Amino acid sequence: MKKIMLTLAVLGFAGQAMAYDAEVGGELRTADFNDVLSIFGSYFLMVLKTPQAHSEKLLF
Amino acid sequence: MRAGFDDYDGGSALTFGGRYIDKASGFFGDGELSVGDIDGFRLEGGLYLSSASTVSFFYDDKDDFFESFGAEYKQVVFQNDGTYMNLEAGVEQIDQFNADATLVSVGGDYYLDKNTSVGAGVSVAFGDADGFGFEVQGTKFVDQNLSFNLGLSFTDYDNSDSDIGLILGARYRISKM
Repeated sequence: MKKIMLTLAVLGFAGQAMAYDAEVGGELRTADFNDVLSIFGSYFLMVLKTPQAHSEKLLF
Repeated sequence: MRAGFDDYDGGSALTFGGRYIDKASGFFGDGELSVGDIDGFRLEGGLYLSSASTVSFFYDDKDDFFESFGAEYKQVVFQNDGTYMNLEAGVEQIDQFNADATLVSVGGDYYLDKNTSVGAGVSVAFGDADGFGFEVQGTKFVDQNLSFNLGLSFTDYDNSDSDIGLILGARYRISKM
């Protein structure tokens, strides 16, 4: 039990300290000949942008 | 790194991909692998011409029915009033069901502020399947993390009826610097 608590504490600390940037989303495109449903997710290994910095998001 | 799931009328596919950027030289490489009812891959390589523009070349292969290659150019234009535009142009040579076509497309999004954008795009096809496509779309960030997009598309190509479609999407993004 102590090991589990210690592991969770270490992971929690690492999560707090680590920078991250991730996105999930979905899109539906309808058409008579082909409806397309897309579900996607991205994880950026480098934090390249702030959430609202569209201009950087557009390029990266 | 990215992953996705696409569901078409004719099947579905899982897609895994990633992009590597060499910030020192400005070169980037992008790869994508699709598995499922539609297997295939897409490779892309390009260059950051500046911090606001890229040019890239790609090759796309899906099973035995779709193959294409082409080039894309992307440019972000910043205005003095704080708004900006994202402009894109591309040319693509497509071989689908043994019908060749060249697709030329241009599009742009105008960012009214950091929370709202409106955009439009036009594609024109020449070759065995002449025609064109047009779409308009808008995106609204309701807060720093969540955005919705809504749009309409119109397509009219040879060998198929003209069609009006609806685009509905949502994205949720979390980041910590």
